[in-house]
Amino acid sequence: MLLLLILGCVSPAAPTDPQTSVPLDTAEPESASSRDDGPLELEIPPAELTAAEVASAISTLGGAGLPSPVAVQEVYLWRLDGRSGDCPQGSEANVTTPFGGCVASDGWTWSGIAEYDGTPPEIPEIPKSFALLGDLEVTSPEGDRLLLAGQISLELDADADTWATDYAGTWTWSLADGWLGLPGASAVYSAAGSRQDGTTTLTLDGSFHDGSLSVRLYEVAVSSAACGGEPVGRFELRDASGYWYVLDGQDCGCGPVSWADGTTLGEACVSLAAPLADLAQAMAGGL
Amino acid sequence: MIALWLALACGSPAPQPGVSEAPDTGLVPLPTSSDPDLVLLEPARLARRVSLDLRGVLPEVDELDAVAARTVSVESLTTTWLADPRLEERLVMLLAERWHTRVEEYLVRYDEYPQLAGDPTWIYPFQRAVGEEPLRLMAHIVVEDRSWDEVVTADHTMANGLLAELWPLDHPGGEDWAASTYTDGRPAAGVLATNGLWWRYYTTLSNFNRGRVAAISRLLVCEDYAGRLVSLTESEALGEGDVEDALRESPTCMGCHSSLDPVAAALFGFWPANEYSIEELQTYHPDRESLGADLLGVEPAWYGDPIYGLNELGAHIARDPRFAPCAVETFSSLLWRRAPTLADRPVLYELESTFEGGERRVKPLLAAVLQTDVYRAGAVSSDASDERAQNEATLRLQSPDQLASSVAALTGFVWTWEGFDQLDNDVLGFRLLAGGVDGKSITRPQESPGLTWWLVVQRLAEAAAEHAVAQEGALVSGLDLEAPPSEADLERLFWWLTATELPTEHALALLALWESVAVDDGPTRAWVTVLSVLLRDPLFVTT
Repeated sequence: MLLLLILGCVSPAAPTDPQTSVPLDTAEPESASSRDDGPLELEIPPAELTAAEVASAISTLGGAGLPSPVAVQEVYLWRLDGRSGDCPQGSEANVTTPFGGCVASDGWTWSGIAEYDGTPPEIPEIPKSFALLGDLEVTSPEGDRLLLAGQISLELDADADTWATDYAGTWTWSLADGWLGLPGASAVYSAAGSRQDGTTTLTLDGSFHDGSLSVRLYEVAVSSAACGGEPVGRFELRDASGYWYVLDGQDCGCGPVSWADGTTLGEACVSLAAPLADLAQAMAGGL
Repeated sequence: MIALWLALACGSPAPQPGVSEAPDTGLVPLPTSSDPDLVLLEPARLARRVSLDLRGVLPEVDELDAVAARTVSVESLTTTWLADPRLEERLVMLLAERWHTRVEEYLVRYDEYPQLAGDPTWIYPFQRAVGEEPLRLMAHIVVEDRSWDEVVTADHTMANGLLAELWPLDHPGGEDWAASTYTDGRPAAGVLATNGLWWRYYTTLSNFNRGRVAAISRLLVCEDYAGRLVSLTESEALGEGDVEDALRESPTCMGCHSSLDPVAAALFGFWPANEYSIEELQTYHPDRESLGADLLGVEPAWYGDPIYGLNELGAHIARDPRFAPCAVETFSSLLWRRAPTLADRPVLYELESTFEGGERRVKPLLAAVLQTDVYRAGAVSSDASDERAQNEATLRLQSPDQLASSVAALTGFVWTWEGFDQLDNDVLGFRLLAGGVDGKSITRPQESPGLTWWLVVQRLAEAAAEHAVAQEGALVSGLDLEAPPSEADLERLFWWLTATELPTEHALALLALWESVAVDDGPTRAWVTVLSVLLRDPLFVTT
């Protein structure tokens, strides 16, 4: 019993410094999370497409045409002509609405802003240089939707017969044909071109999402006088896994197709002559 | 008998720091501190703090009784409460204090959505739904006891019916929060693939996601670029040249940008062509993923570790040796109510071992943090240094969400006005005035009482007491509201609300208050008054 008392009443231990109660080295203690496994190598899933399927998919990108600033300019100015009264507000070709939008007397709903820099062309099909910044949604009484989201510019130099454009964002008009009519389509690209001695040239770099496919055109060049109008450059197609196929089309759009893990899948050719020519022609039409 | 004998023989049962109690008393041992600077809370008060932190409500009276009688340990209650469904909501609020996504202003307003425009009652639900998306994903991962790694690798998010209506989401239906999947092709990257995170940490066209990288670096690996020294003199001299070139070539800039820009390059699927456009902001742009390398001039990488893109970013972050320690530091600081110091390192290392040993599940980590001395401290000893005394948060204000949920559970009172939760918004409510965090102007919870805090607490207490009496809330259950309170009534109320025994003079004062009000206004008003006083008692509004 005495032992119990002694054990139970044992003197309190001297308070210890919490830092000295844990073994400490002068060096930084090794973190429990420290790992020495080398760089993390994630397993890339095997390719699901063949080289031909990759080229075919990339070629479908232009099936509805490529996104053109000229088409955007045309539809924007057309709709601008339809505005009425105080809805939307804005001077010249600029537009602004209150938050929540407004309804014009013709029943169209406007919401957002758009800033147009440039002189609207007299003939819509013949573009003039312009820049357009859009955060605007215009909806018809029937529910048809014009969406302007991003920035576009077109610079035409009639003296030098050259043009340049920057196209970025989501620009759609639900009743349009071509790229503008694709739901969810967006693109970010820069392009420049010329028309001299009957030859049209175009260089282009950017990314395109047509609502399902995501394609990157990297340093692409095309001339109406070479390769039957097919482009030279690198063409990339995104897989649902987030990895990309690459078609290195330095031979008139033909070349090896590789997968993200470095595997070469064979050779194939893209076919984008028609949409690229249409794009170049649309721009050059303003020269 | 032995226990009694020992207790009598040893005199005062109050434990001293660092002293363990004899193990054979048959009772739950009193908590002991290994830190001589800290005096631990009494078990009931500690249980109350744990309950509020994990569930946002007070323990029931019988739970407090059991803990005080030492027949139930705080640890066993903690285990039970970690399985409580209210934990998820509390984690959302806790994590918001660090992630700062529950802001009240995004680049997109509710009324830019046609389906919400014209109805201001959507303001609050819209703001909260957006800001809580990443928080709820993290909280969901915790309550499902999954690895914290999934915070950056999960192939889904959390969404409610509102978000499902507005954003490209596959949601199971209904209005509740549920696991959901984006349908716009974004990769599996947990919170890194949520609109809510990137709407809070937005980028401009020319910033190229760099600010976003600074945010995730601070939040996920506790690497704060904003804390790095910058030579303003040399930075200003760079103004004459091309800024982007300088970021890649100047040693002054490269100190941060050599690691920051490669991560930014992986985030270009979230780079909008117009930072104010709903369509551009709410949709992931898979085609833009590779633009980052061109625009920034660097290939994607995570701190020197090459990555393919966003689809690999999360796995590399989870693999970063700073990721787990940062999670430990995050949850520790949130529960300690203060930032860790160098002196906390040994404790943090032990917590990290627990975290890693538990396969990075957060629940075991939470349980371990709740047992640290810093968490359990109720006071600082007189021998502690002034610096230590100032640094420790031994008495914590209930956060606005804790006040809201604990008062609601006790009284049934939910403070709303025009659809806005008054303790959870700043435009029409009092979140900031009540000591909360809005994530922009205020980024840390208020630590000590202030005038506006007191005014909010007073009004809350008055309204809640009124409601409790009128609606017979839980707080008045068993009370005779036509009669003056008995001493037992007051003791029970005070015990429930504060986990502290009611001092006699305090009881007498409450009874006197009841009687003085009852004389003029009757017993109902007297009860409202007494309850109102109890609900603003310093021991109730603190933990």
